[in-house]
Parts: sequence; C-alpha cells; structure tokens
Amino acid sequence: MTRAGLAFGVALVVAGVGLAAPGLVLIGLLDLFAVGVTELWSRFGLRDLHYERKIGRERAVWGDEVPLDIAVWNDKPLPIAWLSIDDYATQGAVVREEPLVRGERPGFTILRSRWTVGWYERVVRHLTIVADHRGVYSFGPVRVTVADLFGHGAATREHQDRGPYVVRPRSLPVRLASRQHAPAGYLRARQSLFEAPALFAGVRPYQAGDPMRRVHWRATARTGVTVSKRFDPSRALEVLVALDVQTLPGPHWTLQFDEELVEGLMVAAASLARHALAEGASCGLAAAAFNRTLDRFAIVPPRAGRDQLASIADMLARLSETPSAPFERLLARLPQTISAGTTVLVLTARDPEPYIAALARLDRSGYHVQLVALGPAADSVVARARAVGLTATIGSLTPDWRTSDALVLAS
Amino acid sequence: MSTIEPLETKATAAAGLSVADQADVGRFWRDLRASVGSAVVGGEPALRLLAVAMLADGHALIEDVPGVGKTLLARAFARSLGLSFNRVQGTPDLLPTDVTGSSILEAGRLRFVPGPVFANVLLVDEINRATPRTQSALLEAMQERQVSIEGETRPLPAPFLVVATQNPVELEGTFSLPEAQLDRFLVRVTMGYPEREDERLIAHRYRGGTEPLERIEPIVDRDTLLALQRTASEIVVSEAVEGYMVDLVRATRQHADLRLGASPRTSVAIFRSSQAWAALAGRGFVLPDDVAAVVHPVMGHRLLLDVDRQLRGATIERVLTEVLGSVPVPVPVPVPKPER
Repeated sequence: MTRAGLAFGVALVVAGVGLAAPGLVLIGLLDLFAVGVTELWSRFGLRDLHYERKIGRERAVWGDEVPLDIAVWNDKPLPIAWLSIDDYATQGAVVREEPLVRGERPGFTILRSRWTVGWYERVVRHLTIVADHRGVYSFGPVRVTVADLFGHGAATREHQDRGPYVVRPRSLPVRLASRQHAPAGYLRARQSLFEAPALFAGVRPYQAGDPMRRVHWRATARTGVTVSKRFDPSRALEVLVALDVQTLPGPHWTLQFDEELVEGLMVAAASLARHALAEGASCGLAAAAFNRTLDRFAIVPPRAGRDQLASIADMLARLSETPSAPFERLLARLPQTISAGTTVLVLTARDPEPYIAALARLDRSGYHVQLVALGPAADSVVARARAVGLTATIGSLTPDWRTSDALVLAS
Repeated sequence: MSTIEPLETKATAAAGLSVADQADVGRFWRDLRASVGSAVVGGEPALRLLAVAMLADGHALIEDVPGVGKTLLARAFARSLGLSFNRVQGTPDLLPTDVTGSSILEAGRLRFVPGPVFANVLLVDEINRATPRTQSALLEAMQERQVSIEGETRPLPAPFLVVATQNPVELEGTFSLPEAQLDRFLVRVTMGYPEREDERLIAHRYRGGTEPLERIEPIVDRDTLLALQRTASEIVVSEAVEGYMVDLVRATRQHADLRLGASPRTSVAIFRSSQAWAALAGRGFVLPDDVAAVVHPVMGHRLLLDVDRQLRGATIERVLTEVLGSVPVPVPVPVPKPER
C-alpha cells in the first residue's frame, strides 16, 4: 500500500510536471505527504509507548469492586492521534464504566480503550472491576494499535501482559437452630474416646498386652524399666466439606445446572469451612468438579493453618458449575485423603439416591457423615438420608445466597 | 582551631562506647559473612537477621519451603560462632524431657543428664512437627532462659540462641505454633529461592562430595559474643526514632486489615533489633532506615489478619508496607540559633 501510494504520488507529480498541470502536481504532493505520514507513524508510533494495567488486588469476594487503572505513556516527541488498546479479558469479567465487547477469540471479551496521546504524555483511566460472578479471571494479552493522522492503522503490537484476579464466593456466619446441628461440635464426645498417635503424652510402665511398637525404647534404656508410650485422646477435629455440585437429576455429564443452587452451594461450602476453622477444627474440601487442573477431583486436604480458608475459597472460585465425575466416585476416593474419624459434611441440593449407599458405607467405616441439604428439595433429601441412619440437617440462605447474612442450619 | 568530629564518633562517645567495640561488631559481621558464605551460597539477608537475633539476645524462626537451605544456614551460623551447639529434630514423639533433659538411675542414685537445650545455640529442626507440649517446654526455656526439672531450676548457658525451622507448606501432621508462642521469636526469617547463578554455584559446590560445613572455622568465642551483645544493647536510639518505632507499632493496631495488631512486646523487639541492625552496619546510633529494615521480620509473625480481609487478598506483607508508607519518618530538624 505504502509502496503503491508512493509510486502513484511520484507518477502524478511527474505527469503533472510533464503535462504542465499544477493540479496533478498538487494531488501527487498530497499523496506523497499522506504516504510519508503513514510511514512515520507505522515506523515510530509504537516506539517508547508503554501500557500499564494495575488491578487493585488479585483476590476479591463476590460483590466486591476492585479498582482497575490502565495507563498509557507516550515517551517520545511524536504525538499519537489515534491509539487503540484491546485488553483481552476472560469471558464473564465485568468493568463498570466500560462494557466489554465480544472478541474474535473464544472465551475472551475485550476491554477497548481509544485515546489521543500527545508527546511525552501519560494518560490514566480509572475503572472498576465488578466481582459479580465467582471464578478465576485474567486480563491480557494486550493488542496495541496506533494509526496515523488520517486514522489509518499504521502499526500493531501484541504482548503477553497477564493480570489475574480471583473472585471467591461469599462466606457467611453459620447460625445453628440448636447445638445439635453444629457440624463439627457433633463429634467432640465421640472422638475423645480415641487416642491420637500424633499426640504423644509421655510414658507409663509397661503392661502385659502392650504391643511392642508401643514400647518407648529410648526411655526404657534411660530408666532401666520397660515403659510404653502414652497418647492424649484425640481432640483435634477434622472436617471435610464434600461438595456435590450436581444440581439437577440425571447423569453427571448433562452439562446442565441450576445456577442459583450451584452458587448457593458454593457460599454454603465456604461458610461451613469458615465455621469449622473458627471452631478450631482442621478443615478441607472435596468436590467432583473441574478445577483448572488435570485432576477431575478437587481436593484440599484438611488443615488448620492460617491460610486454609483462603485455599478453600480459592478452590471454590475455580470449581466448575457442572460435575466432572459421579459424586459417588469422589466419596469412594475420600478414604485415601482423610483419616479415620474425620467428619464428612456432605453438601448437596439434589436427591442423594445415586450415592446414598456410598455415604452409608463411609459412615460405617469410621467416618462421621453428616449431610447438609440446600434448596427446595432439602426436606426430602434430609428424610432420605435419615432413613438410612445418617445425620442430616437443612441449610438455608434466606432470602438468597446474594443477600443472606447467615447460613442457618436446622432440622 | 576546632576540628569537626565525625558524627559517628560523637554518637559513640555519647553512648559511652569505645570505637573499638563498634569496629568489633563490624568485623564480626564481615567475618561471619565470609565464614558462612563458604558453605551457604546467597542467603545474606537471612544471615543478617540471624546475626540480629544473636546480637539482640533473641531467637530466630526460619520459615520456608523444603530444600532452600534453612538447616544448612542455621548449622553454618552456629558453627561460625564457635559455641556449644545442639540439634533437635521435631517429631511427634519428641518428649519435653528429650529437650530439657532428665534424671537417670545410676548405681542406685539419680543423675541428671542435661538435654540438648543446654547449649549456646540450639537448632530445632521442623519445630511444628513436635507436639504442643514439647513446643511449650522449649518455648518456656527460650523465654525464661532456664528450665525447671524435677523441682530444680537450672539456668541455661549464655548466650542462648534458639534457631528453629519450619516448613509452611506441608502442614499435615504438624502442630502450628500459636501466636503467643510465635511471639517468643524475635525475628522470622524467610530465605526464598536462590538466584540462577547462586543455584549453579550450589550445585558446583556439592560436586566435589565434600561437606561445605567442614570448611567453617569459628570466628568468635563466647566472651567476645557477650561483649558484642552488650555493645549492640548500648547503641543510641534518639527520642524521634523511638517515637517512630512506637508509631509503627500503634499503626498496626488501627489497620483495618488486621484482627490483632502488634503488642507492646513488639515495640521492645523492634527496639532491640534496630539496635543490632545498626551495630552490624557499624553505626553507634539507630536510623529510621534501620527500623524500617527490621519491621517485616520482627512484626510479620506477630500480626493476625482479619478473615474477611484475608479473603479479599490482604497479606501481612502488604499491611506492613502500607504501615511503613503511612507513618511519617522522623527527619533531622535544625536547632534554632539563639538570638544575640
């Protein structure tokens, strides 16, 4: 185009001079001027042009607003009459001041900004990300296009400048209709009958029948008397929130879901985890859902560290709305992840018929299974669980998961 | 004709210290770097904090992922100091008496066998694998600098430094140190992954098959270390800098992201650590920069984030950076000349 335009301009000028036609010469000169301008911007427009994106924080909770500042800095003496910046964003991202436009790449939308930037000028746009949907999002890559004075696209550059952010589900206080509905407290009395091999309490004289592995050889050698190890009773509670993300009856692969119920389950799971951790329990999460890894099961092993709630909330943010495998298969895998005596809080919003046998088996094999049912079918779900001898409670987020101020557990 | 006295000498004189004392601290730091550096590649910031803990008569907690050289650094540091050194491996079946010592029956009489805690430098590897009971026994010894066994109180040798390590990632089968016990550690040290060139050098050092620790020779003796501690404790802290320390501590109590701000004990820890930091820099007085340098390692493990803020991405590091940015730094103020 530039070369053809140049040739055309030169031809016009030559022809104009040859034919003594000043009009042709003028048109030729104008064409050459336009070609020169385009060439100037295409060659130097992108040079020393910087784009910065600053996301206020990488973690947000549903409903938050996160500041997003985007800045362009033209660090050269050539002004840019027309600058377009396409910042690709994961589909679902929402910017309050600027609707994101559909892009040509699947799964992405575009935050489009157009500016005129003077020489050595820095322009900043203050925007706001609205965290109105749970998930993992990112901005980037960025495509920068500069055009000449006539608005012709002169040069384009794309760079991989990624800016991720995570929208975690809300976590609410858990309100109990009565103490018997306490998801973790239910087990305190039962567990204290067992000794925790990790809680070494000291030694006592050897008694006939003590297994050899229980003898403390070092202390025996020191004192000259055979002594056995003594352990404290298990006081540490381990709770695993097993989340059934399937919300509609039928096979797990239908790819259909009830969004309200799914998001309600996420909020309930985060709330139960927060409650368990605040009670001093170790808490983990398991779900048969896609979670941006190759593993079909999302598992956060029970822990009581400071950052555990954040880890669980991150995992909940990553979970897909549809299951990745049958829930009963996840239940069958749990004994590999959790120790005997762990409370398994099964959180569901559908008829547990397909996996009720797996739950009962888990309960019989030394885990304390407690079912928490959410949604319109909660009554029948609870009745079904109780029919096979499981403890079950109804969880409710009133009026809905968006505005509720607590997760209420009741009969 | 009057001569202009260097500021440092003035401050030193004001503190009642001899210049040689400070030169000793400077030499100590130089020799320590060289000595530990012969075994540990990189890790100078971490080593500096260990030296701060030693000079300030505190204890250090090294917290990082496995394999970055926590134990090696602690061992190299202890070996360089030329003090008595013991090591305890934190395991769930470690008894308090395995740390403090116990009496054994010998020829019909009880004889006390001191535990590993009776050493100048005690390395407690993976402290969070020990049970809370053993942790408590150890942390009590750290605080009181004595242990009571079978009704008898036995003082621990001076200087006494506990260097504990823990891995913050693998928490299964561990017992997290409660905040009150974390408070016993003057500084928390993180090492981080080495730079590319350092990592290459590490691989190179181990190629020969010789243990790098064997090359380390002691650089000081016990009496010198005690003298260095005294020197560090006498470093001058101006009223303005003291105020800065207190303002930093108080700012944490008002920060919206924190559930628990720093305690008055933290002010003491900042004070002592800043003195030690300044001493290592060869100065006889504390600058606001010294205070800012120790804020993260001294305060980081003493603060508790608000759960809701944590879910919104708040971190202790960011809170401390904000606190440092919000509290005005004391600046030199010219003294008005008396009017004639």
